[in-house]
Amino acid sequence: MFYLSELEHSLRVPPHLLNLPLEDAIKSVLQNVFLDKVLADLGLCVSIYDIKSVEGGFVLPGDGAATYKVGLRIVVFRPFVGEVIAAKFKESDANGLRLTLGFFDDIYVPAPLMPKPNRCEPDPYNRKQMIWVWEYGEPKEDYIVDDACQIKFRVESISYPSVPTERAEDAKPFAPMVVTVSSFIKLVL
Amino acid sequence: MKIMKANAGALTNFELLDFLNSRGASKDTTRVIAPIARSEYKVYDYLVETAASTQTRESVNKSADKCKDFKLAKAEILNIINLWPSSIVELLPIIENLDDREIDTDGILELVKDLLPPLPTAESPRENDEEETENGEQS
Repeated sequence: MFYLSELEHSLRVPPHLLNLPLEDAIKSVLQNVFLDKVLADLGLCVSIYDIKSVEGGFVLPGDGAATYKVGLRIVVFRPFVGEVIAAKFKESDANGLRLTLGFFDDIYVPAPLMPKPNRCEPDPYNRKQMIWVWEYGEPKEDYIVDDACQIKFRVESISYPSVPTERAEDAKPFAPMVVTVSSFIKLVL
Repeated sequence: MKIMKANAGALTNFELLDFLNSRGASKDTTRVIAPIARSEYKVYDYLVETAASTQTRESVNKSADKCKDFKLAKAEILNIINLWPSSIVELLPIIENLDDREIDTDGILELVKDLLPPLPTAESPRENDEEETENGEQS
């Protein structure tokens, strides 16, 4: 689920941080740049692991800030295909389920990958949502997929859609990293 | 920004939890004082609810060594340590081509039981249901 990635980055440390010890100042600038951002093909950056090297410290003419070249390691969230992860249910619609991990919400279970047999019913309480019901067992019992279950899923694919240049007014917020999964549902009450 | 090494090593959930703990993360109200960002806290909250919160460095090292004896792939070992399957139902989705490879599933479950106290969310009332669904579980 989590990997370490080694990067090299040139950054400028703004003058108001110059009173801090160098490592702290660099770490805080790095956190603003990388934390909670998705890097293409690397994944979601979760944390700065450590700083391996710092070079430079030159002040360019006309600028009050020092520029450093920093080698660092970050922890990224990048599930691999075939990994099994536990998540919670977030919302569902006719196309399938959406699950959340707390720090990452764009996990989709498309309808063809739901455990079979199943059926979909309109939700009586919320018009935009549909309830998915898993029919299992002999005789058939209905297991309703909702907040009470903890869902374990296996990752089928990850995609990093590119930033859209134009969008419709009511489109969903842009998701830079989308994980498509198939699910096994485990009931935990 | 240059990427030197896209993959410098995989981390188990336990290792990340340990790292956050060593920086001062905790569950109670001292959150504001520790140098941990809010987004990192969301990861911390997720990890604390998984099996990683009851693991120790020794148990993780021991289980990684023993899993090598079972001829498991690296990805499967990582999955087992992160998920800590306590029953055959949880183990089946992790391992591919179970019959062809003749994996000792009972041995793996024994290993999990030996090395660890039960998961934080008590699952004993559900165990009976899981045994009944074991034969028919579809993946």
